[in-house]
Amino acid sequence: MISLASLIGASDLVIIPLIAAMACALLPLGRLARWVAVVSGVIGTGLAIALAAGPPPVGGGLRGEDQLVWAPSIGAGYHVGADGFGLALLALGGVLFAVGALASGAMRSRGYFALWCALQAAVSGVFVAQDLLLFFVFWEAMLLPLALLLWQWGGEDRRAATIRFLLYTMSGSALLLAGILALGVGTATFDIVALHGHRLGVGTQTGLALLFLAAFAVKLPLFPFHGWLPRTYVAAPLPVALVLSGIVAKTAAYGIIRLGLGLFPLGMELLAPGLVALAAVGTVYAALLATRQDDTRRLIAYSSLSHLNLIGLGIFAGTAAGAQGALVASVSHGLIVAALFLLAGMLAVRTGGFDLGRAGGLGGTAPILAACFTVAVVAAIGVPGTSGFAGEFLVLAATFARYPAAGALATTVVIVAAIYGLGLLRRAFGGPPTRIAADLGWRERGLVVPLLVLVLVLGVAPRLVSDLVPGGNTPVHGAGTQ
Amino acid sequence: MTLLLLPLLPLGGALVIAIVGGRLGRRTTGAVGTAAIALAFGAAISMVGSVAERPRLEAQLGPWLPIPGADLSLVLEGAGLALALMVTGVSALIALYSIGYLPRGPGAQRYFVALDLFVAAMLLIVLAGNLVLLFAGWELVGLCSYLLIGHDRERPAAGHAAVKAFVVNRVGDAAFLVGIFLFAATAKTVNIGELRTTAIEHLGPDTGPAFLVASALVLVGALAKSAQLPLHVWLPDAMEGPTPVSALIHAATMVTAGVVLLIRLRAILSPEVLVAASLIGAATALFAALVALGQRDLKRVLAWSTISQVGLMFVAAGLGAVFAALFHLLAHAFFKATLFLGAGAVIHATGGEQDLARLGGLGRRLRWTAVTFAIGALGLAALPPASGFFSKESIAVAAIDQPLLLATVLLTGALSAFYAARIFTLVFLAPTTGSRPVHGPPAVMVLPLTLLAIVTLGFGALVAAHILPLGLGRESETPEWLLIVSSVLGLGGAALGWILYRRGLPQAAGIERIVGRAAGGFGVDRFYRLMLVRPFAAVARELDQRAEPANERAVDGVATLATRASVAVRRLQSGSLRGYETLLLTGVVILLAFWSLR
Repeated sequence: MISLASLIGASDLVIIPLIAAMACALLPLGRLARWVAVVSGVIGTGLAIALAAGPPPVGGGLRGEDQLVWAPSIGAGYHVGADGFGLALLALGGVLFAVGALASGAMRSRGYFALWCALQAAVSGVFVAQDLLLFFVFWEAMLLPLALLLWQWGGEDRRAATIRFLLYTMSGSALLLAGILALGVGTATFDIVALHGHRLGVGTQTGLALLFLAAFAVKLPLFPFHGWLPRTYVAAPLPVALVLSGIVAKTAAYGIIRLGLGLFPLGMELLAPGLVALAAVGTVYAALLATRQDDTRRLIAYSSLSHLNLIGLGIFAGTAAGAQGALVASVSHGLIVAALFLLAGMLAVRTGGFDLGRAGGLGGTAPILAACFTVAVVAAIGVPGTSGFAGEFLVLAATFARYPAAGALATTVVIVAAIYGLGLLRRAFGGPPTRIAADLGWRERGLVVPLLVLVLVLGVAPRLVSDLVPGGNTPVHGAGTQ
Repeated sequence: MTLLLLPLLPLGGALVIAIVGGRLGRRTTGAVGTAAIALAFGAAISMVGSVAERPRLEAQLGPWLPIPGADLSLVLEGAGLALALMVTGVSALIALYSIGYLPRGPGAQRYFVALDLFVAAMLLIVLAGNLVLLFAGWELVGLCSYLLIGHDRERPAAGHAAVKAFVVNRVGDAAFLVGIFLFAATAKTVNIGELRTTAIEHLGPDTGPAFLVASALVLVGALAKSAQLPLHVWLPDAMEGPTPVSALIHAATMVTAGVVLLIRLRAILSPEVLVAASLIGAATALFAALVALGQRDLKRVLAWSTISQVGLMFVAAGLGAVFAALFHLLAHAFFKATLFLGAGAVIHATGGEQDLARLGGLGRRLRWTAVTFAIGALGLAALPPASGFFSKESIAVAAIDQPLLLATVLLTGALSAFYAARIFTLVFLAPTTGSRPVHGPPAVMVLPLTLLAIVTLGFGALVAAHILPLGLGRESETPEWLLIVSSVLGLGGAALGWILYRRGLPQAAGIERIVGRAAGGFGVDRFYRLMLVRPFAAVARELDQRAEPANERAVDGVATLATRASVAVRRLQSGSLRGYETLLLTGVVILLAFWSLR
């Protein structure tokens, strides 16, 4: 019997959104462009799930592997395939790109959706690239559509935000490119799978890890390299902020796992104490800042930053369990932040802006909006039964097992998160009713409720995601040196 | 298996109401919510026989987190069945009562979703087979408590009280979490049974330092959930919630979760930590009893008395007298639920009045409520034949070798009798201050009140007479002299309360001036506002106004630097961002093309 998985390859995950992008750009699709983008996202998720559900990979541990000789003289080639981390994030990405496209009703231009699909293609490319140069091409290719979407369709202050975002991110990318070239030239191969077998000296590993981390720390972003984030999230169109936080940031998490821990286990181990400390502080720092925000988008931005640092924390802990927790937290955060951004938009439509000071008292007139918002916030602050708890718990437990002090410090985020999360709900929905607002319509519910259902399902069955990758509290560097 | 049905039935009820409840009326919603809990009670009853045969039942629903031992597994042992019966039974009665109590209009759906979810979560605390699942129940009861305290969204006070309750509980939860991490890291499992084996076999009576620290952290969690010193500040404010909620969550069940935890983990927690638990419990019992004396709000008297009574349970549990702790936990659940539902009937009848100064003379007009309230007050005062009498005696016996603890327990008992008499006298006996329209409670409220009062009367004697087993081995019998001493103290306190307050609050100005000094809770709340809340807000503000702008300027600096550098090096286009991006990309592509063609 021919299984579905044997018919599809990792390349399809890039090619299909690319075709969609070209269709949007070249064909007179009109309003259909949006649906092309939606379908492209749905197919992306479907392919990733089909690959993950297919027979377990033989040998290299990659699914949907595809290889073309390209530049054998320098050891570079077209090599794609997806590991468990990549597949989970690809599935998440498809969902978010579909949801984001659906929510992009106001941006009807074909150009917008062409860029949207191109962004999906680039993000997917990062998750499947198994060659460092190819990885870098996709890594940089994410920036172009992102910057144009921001530049063209953003809100107030979008031009300055775009330039700042681009230059800051590209400064990191430049160091990444230097690192990639140094590594590739030095070992005479750019193939990631082949490089996993190489054992470099500790000093080399540390130096290269720092160069790679420069790009990943800015993109994630890791505290304190997050200066671009709040302004960019606020300036970006809501759907773009949604994918930027929900999935684009995860390319950095993936990069740290696949390239950082994968290629430089000893170097990462040497840097781990500092990185763990930064991530732990960042987790709490961002949550503290979220308690001060009056703009729902900024509040979500800082809450998101807190979660992204928590994801980083799990990875830096340097164990399979930590990376596994980070994966669950990544998928969970993607779904939750998408729901939060959508709900913030729906709230803004009803109160005339993102300012929380103008909201209030909506609980009575818009009970379904209030209920959905409550579920999303409860998940964001990590209450058990939601995926937010599963990710947070796994990351914190894994961190604590190796770095008790940092684990304990980061655990205090559950207190601060309660303050900003419940504060948001109280300010938006508590108090005497101030205005008559329509409750969520069927279209709005159709957008948000599936995300929330997924959040609850993953809260009860986090193994759907976590079983895609190995677990265990053995340090990664220990396994690597044997 | 029946065991799985216990939490799943109320959970299913919550789901059904959440999905279709919008189209049902208040009564239908309430009926569904009540029925789901009542079915769980039935399931618990049906297990009485099997528990008699096998003392330990296990059920597995499936895997959960990828951590050793963190499965969706339930275990019924020891005090489990008694607790499950109490939780489902009292919850079903209070759900029924709520149908009559809730005002008309929307909101019933939210209310019953949270109530049913609460019961499921509370059962998880009682039945979870591992610490993580127990923690899940632990946090979820906190969530439901938050939702129900803030049920009336239009009142800002309720919203603030709800957030405060959740945040203070989260302080304990954070400690609890770290405790779980430490247990997991040390013993490589979170399964409660296996942890017990590890604690007993490998570490012996003097458990290792890791277990000591972990136990202390778990105790902090228990203190927060059970509103013990110094984390008690959320419970009095939680009275902003609807009264049936106060009866169920903030008296009968959730606040006693800390005691349940101590009972279930008794063999795992370090002895030093258990001693600390009993000392903190004693301090809290006395402290809260003093504060309760001067409260002017009917529900706040009951709230402080709950803190005090749970303190007594901590004393027993900390001393290892788990039977006494469980006995008092159950007895307290019955008499305190009776008292709260009685208070609810009073508030319902007077259109929302809960100020003791403005109540009075209701004994004639709300006869049945007065009778049931009197039975509840008898339980609180620990006077026979109410069950509080027997259960408090067993706690006193547990502390008989510790003079200081024994004295605290007895003194707390006397104070409890005093304020129990005070509120009963002020609400039902004292001369009325004005005539207002009063309407009696409907049948759905009277029935639960009556049943709870009957249980309050009979339960203690049945247990004391060895007719009802609770699933735990009981401790020694009460010596006669202790019975006499505590009865005299209880009667004395109650009599004093009646004598001083029988003419009403205005005529008791002298004693009120004395007890009023304690009414502010000895300034703990103010201290926290000053020493914790304000500094926290100040730090967050400083970060927002200084650290973040500085960080953003650094980003701008990097951006400017990159621009200048590129201008200086290339002197090509300056500032065209598309240009930079294209340039970088084409560079890579050309490089690749060059290599591949070579």
